[in-house]
Amino acid sequence: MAADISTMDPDLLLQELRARATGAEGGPPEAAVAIAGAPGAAEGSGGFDRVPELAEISDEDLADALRLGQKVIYGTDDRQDVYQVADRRLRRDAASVVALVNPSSLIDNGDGTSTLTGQTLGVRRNLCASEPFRDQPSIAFCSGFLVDPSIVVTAAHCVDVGTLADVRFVFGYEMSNATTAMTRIPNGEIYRGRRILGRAIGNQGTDWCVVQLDRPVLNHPYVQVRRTGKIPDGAGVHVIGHPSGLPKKIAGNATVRDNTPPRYFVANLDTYGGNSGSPVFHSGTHVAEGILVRGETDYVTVGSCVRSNVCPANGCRGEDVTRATEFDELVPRNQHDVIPFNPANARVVSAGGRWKIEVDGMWLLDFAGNQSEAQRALAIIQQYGFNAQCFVGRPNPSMEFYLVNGQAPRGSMPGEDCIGFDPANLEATYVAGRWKVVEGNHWLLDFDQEQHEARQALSYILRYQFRSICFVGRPGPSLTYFKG
Amino acid sequence: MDEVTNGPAQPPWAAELDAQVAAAVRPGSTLREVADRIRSQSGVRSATLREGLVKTDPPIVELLVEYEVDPGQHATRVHDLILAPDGTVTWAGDHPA
Repeated sequence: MAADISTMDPDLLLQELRARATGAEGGPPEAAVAIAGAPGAAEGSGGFDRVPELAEISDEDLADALRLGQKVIYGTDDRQDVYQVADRRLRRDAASVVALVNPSSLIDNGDGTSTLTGQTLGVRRNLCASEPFRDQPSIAFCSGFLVDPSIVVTAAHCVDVGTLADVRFVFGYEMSNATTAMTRIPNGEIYRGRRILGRAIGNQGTDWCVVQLDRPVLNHPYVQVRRTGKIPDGAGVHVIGHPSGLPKKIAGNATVRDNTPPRYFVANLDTYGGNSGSPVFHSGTHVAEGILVRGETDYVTVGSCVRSNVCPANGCRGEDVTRATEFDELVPRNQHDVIPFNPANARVVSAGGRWKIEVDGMWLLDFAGNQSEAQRALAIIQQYGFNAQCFVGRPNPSMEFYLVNGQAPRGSMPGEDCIGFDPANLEATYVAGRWKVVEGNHWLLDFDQEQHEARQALSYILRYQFRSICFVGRPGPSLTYFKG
Repeated sequence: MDEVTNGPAQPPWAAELDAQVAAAVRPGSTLREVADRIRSQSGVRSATLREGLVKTDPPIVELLVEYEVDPGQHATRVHDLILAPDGTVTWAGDHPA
């Protein structure tokens, strides 16, 4: 006769599932569930003995019973602290992830740092002694990720127009080793939201929010997001964020389980509350495929303490990931519209009554009848060594800039006509019926109705850390260029 | 043009219904108590929980409430309820279904 598993100790159910997952003798071989990383877990069979009276119970039924007594772990618990991960691409993914915290969780130390404060997860959640990470602090209420130097993406449930002022975006909240959480944060790693660029929430899995930060983030990478199509069926994925408010965790070893909904997909990612807004990456390409938003129940009280919910790798409802293609249009593109050239071959020529700069048979610039401006532009190109001409919004570009070996031109020339600015103070905004890149009350660039071009231009300025805009022939300059 | 968006504009009936639900979420109420209270309100056709949890910390449960906004005309709103570890809920906000 099969055991009444509803009355059995959840520890026994967990032991049986672990034993099956690790191939211990004594029951059905098709184990689908295991928990790793918990105290007592070991390599190989994990040291878990089968529980004879559970031999006839299916994995699915065991997991269901355990759920009632216990967070959402699919198969093994794949969460790892960042310091435990050696893979450079994973670490780079992780460096783009930010914790969303309440200002009340931050105490300014008055020395250029602030301290994140909060209870340990174990205390806050009354976790059972076997639960991993119970001695770590639980502070973040959501997660987010950098998609451009000044733009963070998170879930719509995490922030809206009314709450944006009460959110702090904190980089670097992670464990430095097994016992030390980095809670003393340089103030330079703490950002505020300047505005919400877009937000959508509703059924069909739509749950995203794109936030412009109060200043650009210059010391963390930003991720690439999917622009078209869908992640392949069954693809491997990993999620990075702050489950249960913990220091940053990387959880991989998951796959896409249901790729049919148009606005989201479902994966068996190990996530908890606090993971909302986490980027979900394709583990092969490291492109951000979407935002973790919704999923299975995290914790359930059993007796006097709280345990994680455990699901078979293919069981439970799965975790919903809003597709990046829902918001990608608000993320500036990284692909340049660029024409490379050799500045040594540039020359001023007259063609059809117009003065031009030509390089290897290609017209680079047109100066109409102004030969002196053409000569001046050529001198500038060759002095700095411009070797790439870049555009925003061709065929009638709203912005042009030049790079030197992929970097902002640097240095100076006598007689240059330049206007300096602080890139940290720039923003793309709609002023008097037109999209502009402005610094305070001064506008730098005008994009008319082209919002996307304004954001793209700002992205380039921040990315290359341009600090001045220079002209040949104002007003109506024949050459405009930026310098770092 | 307004670049700061917070989702689509709310229908005219939404604010009143949202306030009705917010009032039903009394301190210390469990999810079941709230759902029962809402189901008993006039004009409410159904109140069901959306499968799964929104993964904020603490997590949010989404209560889908179908209303009769005009005779023969129905609409569904989603009411976000923060789920505390002890099973009680507090009102967090509303949004379209």
